[in-house]
Amino acid sequence: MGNGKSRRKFLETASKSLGLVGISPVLSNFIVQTLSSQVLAAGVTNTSGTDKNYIFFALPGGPPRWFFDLPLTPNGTAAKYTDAFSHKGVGTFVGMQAAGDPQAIYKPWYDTVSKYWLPPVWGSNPAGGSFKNCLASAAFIRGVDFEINNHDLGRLRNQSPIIGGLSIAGLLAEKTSTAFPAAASGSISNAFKATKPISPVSLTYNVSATVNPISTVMRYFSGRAPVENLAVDQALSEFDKYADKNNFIQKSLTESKERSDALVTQGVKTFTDKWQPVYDRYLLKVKEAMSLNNTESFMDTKPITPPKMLANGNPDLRTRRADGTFMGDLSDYRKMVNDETTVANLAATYATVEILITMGLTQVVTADLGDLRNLVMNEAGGKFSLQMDQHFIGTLVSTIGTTFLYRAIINCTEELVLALKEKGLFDKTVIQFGAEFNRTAKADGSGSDHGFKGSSVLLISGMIKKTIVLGNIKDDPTSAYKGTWGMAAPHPLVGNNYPLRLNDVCKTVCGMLGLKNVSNNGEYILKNNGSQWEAFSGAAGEAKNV
Amino acid sequence: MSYKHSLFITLLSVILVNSSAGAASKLSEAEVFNRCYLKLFKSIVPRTASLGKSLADDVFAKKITASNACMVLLEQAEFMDNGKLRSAKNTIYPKLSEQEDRRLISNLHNFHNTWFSKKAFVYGADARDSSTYMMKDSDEASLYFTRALFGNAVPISTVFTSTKTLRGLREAPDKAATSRWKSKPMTIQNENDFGTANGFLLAYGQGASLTTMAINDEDLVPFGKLFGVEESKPLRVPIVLIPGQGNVSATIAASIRNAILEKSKDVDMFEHLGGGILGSQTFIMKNTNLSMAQIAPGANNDKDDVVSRRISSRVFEDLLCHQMPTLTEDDVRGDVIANSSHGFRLNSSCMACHTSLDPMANTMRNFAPYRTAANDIAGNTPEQLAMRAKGTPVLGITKLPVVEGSGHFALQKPMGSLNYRDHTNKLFKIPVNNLNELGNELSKSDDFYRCVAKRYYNFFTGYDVNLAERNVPEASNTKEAKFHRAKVYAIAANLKKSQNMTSMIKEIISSEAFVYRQYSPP
Repeated sequence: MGNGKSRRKFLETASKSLGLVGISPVLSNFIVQTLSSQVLAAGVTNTSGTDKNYIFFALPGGPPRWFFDLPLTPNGTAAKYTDAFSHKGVGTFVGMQAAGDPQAIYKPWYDTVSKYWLPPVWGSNPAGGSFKNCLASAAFIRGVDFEINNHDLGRLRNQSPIIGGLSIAGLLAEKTSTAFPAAASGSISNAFKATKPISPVSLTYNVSATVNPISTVMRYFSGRAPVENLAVDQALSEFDKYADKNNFIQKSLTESKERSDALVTQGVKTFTDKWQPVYDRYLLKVKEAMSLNNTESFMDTKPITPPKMLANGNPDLRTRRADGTFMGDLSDYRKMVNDETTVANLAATYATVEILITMGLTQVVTADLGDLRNLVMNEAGGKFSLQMDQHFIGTLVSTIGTTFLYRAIINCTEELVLALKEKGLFDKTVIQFGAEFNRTAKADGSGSDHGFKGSSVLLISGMIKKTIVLGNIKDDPTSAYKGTWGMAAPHPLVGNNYPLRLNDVCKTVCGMLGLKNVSNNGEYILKNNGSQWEAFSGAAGEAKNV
Repeated sequence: MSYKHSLFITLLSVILVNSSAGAASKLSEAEVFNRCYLKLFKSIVPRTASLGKSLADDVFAKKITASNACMVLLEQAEFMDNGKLRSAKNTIYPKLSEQEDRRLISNLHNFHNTWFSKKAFVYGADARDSSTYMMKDSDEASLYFTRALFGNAVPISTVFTSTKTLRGLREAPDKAATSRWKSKPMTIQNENDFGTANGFLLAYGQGASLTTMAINDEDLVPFGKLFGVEESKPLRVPIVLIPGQGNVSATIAASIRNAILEKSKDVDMFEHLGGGILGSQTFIMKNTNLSMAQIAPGANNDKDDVVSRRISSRVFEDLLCHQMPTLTEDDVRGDVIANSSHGFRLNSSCMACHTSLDPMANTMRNFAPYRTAANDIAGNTPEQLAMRAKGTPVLGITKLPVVEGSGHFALQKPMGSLNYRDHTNKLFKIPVNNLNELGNELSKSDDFYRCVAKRYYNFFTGYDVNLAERNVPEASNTKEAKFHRAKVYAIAANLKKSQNMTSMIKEIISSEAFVYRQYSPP
């Protein structure tokens, strides 16, 4: 019984025998895990059919990705990137219209380690320098044709490229034997599908010192109102009598429930004990990201003063808020983000992921990330939220706000990567960021539109040992402006016939996780080299602006 | 046996299995028989007098081979097949005990159930307060397989060619005192109002014409342990409600109204729509993507609009073991329509699935969901009040009549095709005009037999074979994987020829993967 396979078999069989007495598979698995960890001596590792972990973070709404993971400069040549973003009236329209205009300086940031020009947020670690742990293990896959112009389907296809088909999370979950096959929050859980009838545990985020994101599922077992408990006990007792009378195998449900309640309560306590310090750590990471420390790569170091009214008497479109009104009287646009600014549920999500994965409660988490909240919109201190679906939004607001959003996300990811490294799990983990699409810059009014013809995906994994930038981009001839972020261009990895597509990305992630492909097509866009994954050599491993 | 005992035995058997695991070696005959018994009954061979023990003793004494002994277990199963008992075949050995018989049938029937990815009806709100599950067997799809395995010389092709609605025969725990109705498999509201001593009251019609009919015990889905199947006899309801659809042009609206009116009368609750599983009402109700208010396809004669393409997807995935897409982009380039208002028509990567899914769904273009009466009885309209006093509705699927020259796609003569690349990459594009024709073609498809063989091979040996080589990552395409794939292909070819699922099982339990520990092909 010393090897992982035997122990897995033991867990499965013991779970089934507990199932015979009427305990749900999830619960019985949990009980067996708990029991076995006590009974079997330390030193027994690999408790499941796979040792891989998978974390998928969805950005629902399709926020502009050029602030995050769409590096526009191929292989170290900055010129085109810089031109596109600093030219008047082009790109995200963040450059000055005239001398003295408010400005968010949006320059590419040069990573001296990887020698790639990347979105400036990557050089803006609040502690100074770059987010080096994430960067060293990141694959920026840009120029991916998402093919479908639809919020929900586009987002779900990051997980299951064939609509309604198998999902990456589902395939990995069915190979694990952890207490929860998977945990999920938000709309991305709709993509979950395995070949076996399993479902993820739903997470909720009513966070307090005693209530944590898995409290809903735990409430099923403990913490019920007394009247409900009484009803359950009575029902089980009646069933026991009936089972006795009819010689059922399933007996002693009351006793089983009491024992399982005790074990799960212990599990809840362990989670809850862990919760507060971990949650506090991530809360701090979000707060750090909202400071002005090390923001000069994307924002002026001096006050960004109010915009002038345009000649026609209308306010500058760059200062439009997400709700359509204008931010006219903010003396310094940098005040938009302050101590109270946060990202909905970000700290709770990351704390949950860290606890669930590092405690071995699950190996698969998919979660939606929330919007930026409590941005200041005027001198009176009024607040607004920045949604990720950024139509008709001022580019100044979008640039500053969205970059802070991404900075908070990466700051938390950096912390998560460190936690995984400490437990020796990072080399077995893939963290994927996906959204329904990128956005095209300044396509509708002052905002941006659905950029499904050219989007991007970010993978962070200990299996990646060197920063990778991959994928080709070309101008979108159907757009009213020029720019190199418009469309995905054909790529040699798929025979120069097509751009990279989600099927290719999913096949690659499946390969990294040791799974069969979720669809019946696609190509590997990274090369497997033992336990590592790297860029193919030559043109197949390059990123070009065509 | 107490829980503690069963857990002890479980743990003991795990230890024993693990202690003997190691290099590839052939199992002894006794071990092969034990393994087979364990798979068929989910329990170890009994130590008390029983067929299992007699066979085990004879295997040990070399009076019978393990695989033949295992076959005797299947031969001795008794199964009620539409009123005619398939009785134990072997005259030398005793029959299975009733308990063993039920266990064997349930175990394999439950296994068949796992092949289907959708377990519940999709009409969420529409199914509320309905008694559909009481009248229509939600296990029907898997019953076709269970009948093919245990029935009276039923060829497996009937899974796709049968034209009868099936229902399981089951026995409640205390069978002497409990009829189908009294066993009350489902809780229904106002049970006292809705039922009589012999059955429940089905509500049909609407408004002032709302009335009820008594559905007797024998027309209900039995509850308990499965011991057979029966073909449902017609049960006609005078009028049902077909919601139709509201978003059609005036001309089309008139013709579809007429068709609905014609079809709403005298509907057989157990109408079978052709093509075995494909035309099972419960299979359609579990897998459709259309709401009660949609008749495929949508408005204005648009064949790309809503069609029940999810059913096609389930046919490919659940019954052919395909992973979508099966077609390549080159195969479907001719199906791409630039400037189509439907996003999936614009590019070949989407059409690689849609060219398989949509033409298959087009054979079901005239299918119409119905309910016998309005479903929501929680409100206070006169109809809802009447319903609460009179009975509950039942949902179903029927076919609208073909209207010559109609401008509505759903009223035209169904035409479609079966388009796919099989597991060996061979391209098929076969015109099929209704579910019977579709079922007939699927019953000839090698992929169907490979899918059945793959599932059974996995059930008995634990090897999950990937049927299509093109979908196997290079690193996983080992000598071992190729060996087991070739084996499953061969078993499938024999199954297609013999049409006999028991023969297939014999072939599997005689295979290297079953009789060796961790078999390594030469």
